[in-house]
Amino acid sequence: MGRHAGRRARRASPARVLSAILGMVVAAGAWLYLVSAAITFGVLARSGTGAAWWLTGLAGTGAAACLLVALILAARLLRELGVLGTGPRARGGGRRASR
Amino acid sequence: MSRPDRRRRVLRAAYVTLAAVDAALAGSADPRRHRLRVLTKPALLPLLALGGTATPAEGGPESRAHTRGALAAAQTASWVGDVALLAPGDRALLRGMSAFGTAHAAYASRLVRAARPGATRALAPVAAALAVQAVGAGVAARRRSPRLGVPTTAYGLALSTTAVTALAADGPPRARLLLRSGALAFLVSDAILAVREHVWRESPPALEAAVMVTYTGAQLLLAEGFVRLDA
Repeated sequence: MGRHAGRRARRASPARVLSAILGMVVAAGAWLYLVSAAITFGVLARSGTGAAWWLTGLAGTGAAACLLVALILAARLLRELGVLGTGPRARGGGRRASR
Repeated sequence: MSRPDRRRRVLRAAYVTLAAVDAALAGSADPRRHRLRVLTKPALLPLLALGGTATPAEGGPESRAHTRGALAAAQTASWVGDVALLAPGDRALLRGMSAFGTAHAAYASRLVRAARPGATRALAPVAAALAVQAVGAGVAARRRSPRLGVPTTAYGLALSTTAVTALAADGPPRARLLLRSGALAFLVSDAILAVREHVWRESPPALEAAVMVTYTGAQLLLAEGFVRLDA
């Protein structure tokens, strides 16, 4: 019975889907905000304010981190909705991999 | 030649020299030489950014400020990506793609403003072809590791946005030529990188040198195109 249940396709949990969507929207919004902040700090940096380069760097790094979170959540959401399967296992061994 | 111009030329020459050294190290089969890249690769973008600061300013003040800011933000995010990609593995690749995705957002934010009227419709087939390519890269990445599929497609779409907006950009002929060449070089660089990472894992080190030559060339061409955009 346990084996049978394991084979059955997992149903998408509404709570997980909702939290992934919410997290994705927040992360994407933060990404856009931080890209725009990096550009604003970049204007200051280019006009000779040396410290603004650090702020541009911080905003750029923060934006990259937010985009990473948004992409991870997007992948999780698509998996949860069944659009993406679990996919092939990471490579390692087998005829195909050794070719 | 004015002093800022001379300084800019010196910094550009230093960037080209460092890029050549880094590409040679990347193409070396000797792991010790490869490790030296922790010194060369992170120095590339700061050198390029320093060269841009000395550029004489032209054009409207608001547009000029945005051009400079977008370029600074794109170069800073690219630097984060360069550092992230020094490490091997999927996590480093994910971090690198996020950083370069951010850089493309900064590049595209300025290029969109410079778009020729009607260019978007004319470039729709190019955009569609690049989008298909991005999905293809995502599928190839997913074969290597399931968690790389979506981020690779998203990164491919960000890169395509930069490429299409660079093709659509209006401005002085020289700026347009530089921007288009830069975007094309970026596409070529990332295509080779995708092949190395997801299709041909046992590729020769020379291919990594090709990635670096096209990538550093792309950053230089985009930087030169940006500073001429408001002329």
